Amino acid sequence: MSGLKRGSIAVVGAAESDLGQVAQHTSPVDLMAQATMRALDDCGLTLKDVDGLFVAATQVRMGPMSLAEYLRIKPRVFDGTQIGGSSFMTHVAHAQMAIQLGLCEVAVIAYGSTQRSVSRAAASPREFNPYESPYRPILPISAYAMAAARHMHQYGTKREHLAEVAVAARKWALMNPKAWEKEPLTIEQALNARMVSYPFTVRDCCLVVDGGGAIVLTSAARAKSLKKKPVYVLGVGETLSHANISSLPDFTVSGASVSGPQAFQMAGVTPKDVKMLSLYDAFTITPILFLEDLGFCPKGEGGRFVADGGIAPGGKLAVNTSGGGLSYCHPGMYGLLVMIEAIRQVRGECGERQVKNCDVSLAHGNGGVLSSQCTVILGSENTL
Amino acid sequence: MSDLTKQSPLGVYVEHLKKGELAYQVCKDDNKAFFYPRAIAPETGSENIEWRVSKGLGTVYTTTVVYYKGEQPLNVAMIDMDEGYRLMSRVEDIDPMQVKIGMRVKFRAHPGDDKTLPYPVFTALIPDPSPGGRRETSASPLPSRPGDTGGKAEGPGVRDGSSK
Repeated sequence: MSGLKRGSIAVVGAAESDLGQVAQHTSPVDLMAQATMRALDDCGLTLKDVDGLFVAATQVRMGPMSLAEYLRIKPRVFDGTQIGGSSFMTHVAHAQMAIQLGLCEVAVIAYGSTQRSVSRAAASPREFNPYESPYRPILPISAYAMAAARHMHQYGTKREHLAEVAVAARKWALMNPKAWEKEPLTIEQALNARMVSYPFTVRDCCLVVDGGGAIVLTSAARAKSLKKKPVYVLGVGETLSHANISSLPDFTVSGASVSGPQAFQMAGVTPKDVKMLSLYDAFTITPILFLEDLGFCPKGEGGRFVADGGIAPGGKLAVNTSGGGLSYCHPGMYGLLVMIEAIRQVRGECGERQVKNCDVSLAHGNGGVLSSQCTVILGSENTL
Repeated sequence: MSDLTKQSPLGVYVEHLKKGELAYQVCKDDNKAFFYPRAIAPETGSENIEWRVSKGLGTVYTTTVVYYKGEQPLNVAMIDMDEGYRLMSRVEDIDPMQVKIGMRVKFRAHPGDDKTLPYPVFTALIPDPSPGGRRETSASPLPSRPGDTGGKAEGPGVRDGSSK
């Protein structure tokens, strides 16, 4: 990522749309627009200030066009890069390029989905693949399940370790008023839940809910004059490794092992400096893989790292304090909400679940079937 | 040279499957096997591609069991073929939960149906201790994928193969 400068831009606004179950006939673009205005209100900017628009969604084929039409804005810079749930982390990197080069000054990244209302099959239809579809894997679940099975075989990771991830997420979610799940979860309940794709039960899989979000980014110079304390983009990293799971060479190593070091190098920090992690938890295996690949524990040790409440409230490391895709919200492509929690932690807005002295947070996005991996490291003014 | 107005990679692959063969490609520039079939070889970008027929032997790299409501559980697995490429498939004729990583497996063609093209499936190569049952096991050569950590289940097959 040479050329991108640590701290040259900042997140100044962040907001969710309505989450959970929206009213019949609500459109994904309704949710994007609602979140965009909430994020602009969050920083005191208006639609007239927006000159960069970054949108990706599964139900809207040409996102930037649809949202620009809805809001009747004419952005100078627009980008609809669609690489699944990590698209929005990539949009941060692309917005940084555009803002640093002076192509735009205020960038909005937005997302919306009504997948709970219209069904996952309708919201995210999958492409037919003659080399995979005949075997009827439940995608994306079975792809991640096979990664988990390989990790278990190679490193002795247990189903109980996977369940720990689900239970930790639930404990955090109980401290987040916006979380979808409201009831406690035990290891036994997670293990004994309905099997979906071995070794995953339904508790190893993310929620299927409606929702969206938006964030507003601008130059570090302009950020200082706005309502909220700026959250600086210290580092970004991104990589693509494959599209279909059959083409992933090693099922125990994700592209986070590439995007993480890129982001850390740009940010000039190490894992020790990171106070809170927001790791895309589409399935319980992903935080385990990402903790390893991002350098928070050695390869193969992720399962043991999360054991005994390692990433639960009061554990070794604060991970997915919102409750994550497993218990807070997962509207199809969850990466924008992954970042919003990491932004709020640096701002100190997380109430009961706030991590103390959270100067540096890390948001890691995952897309497809472990296919795209993008890391964003965020920091407060103290870190500049 | 490929001519996509005459013949497609998937088309050739399916013609082989109709004859009961699992075909794969090798790039003649770097001698690497690859899968799925392509008109252009990955990494080299070459059209200098050779079709080969697989010996049909491989090792389970990873596996899952999918549960569709109201249906019997179904295996889905990734198979590392001895020729050095990987494909998604399933292991049949065995309880899906008994499909294990490292298990040696053998190809057979599934005929498909009016909606689905023919596709490869696998059966477990379980060493049979009876003298007559040793033939299939001894026909199982060493996996050629370098650095494969397929596991213990390969052990007996490997020993039988080398002591022939």
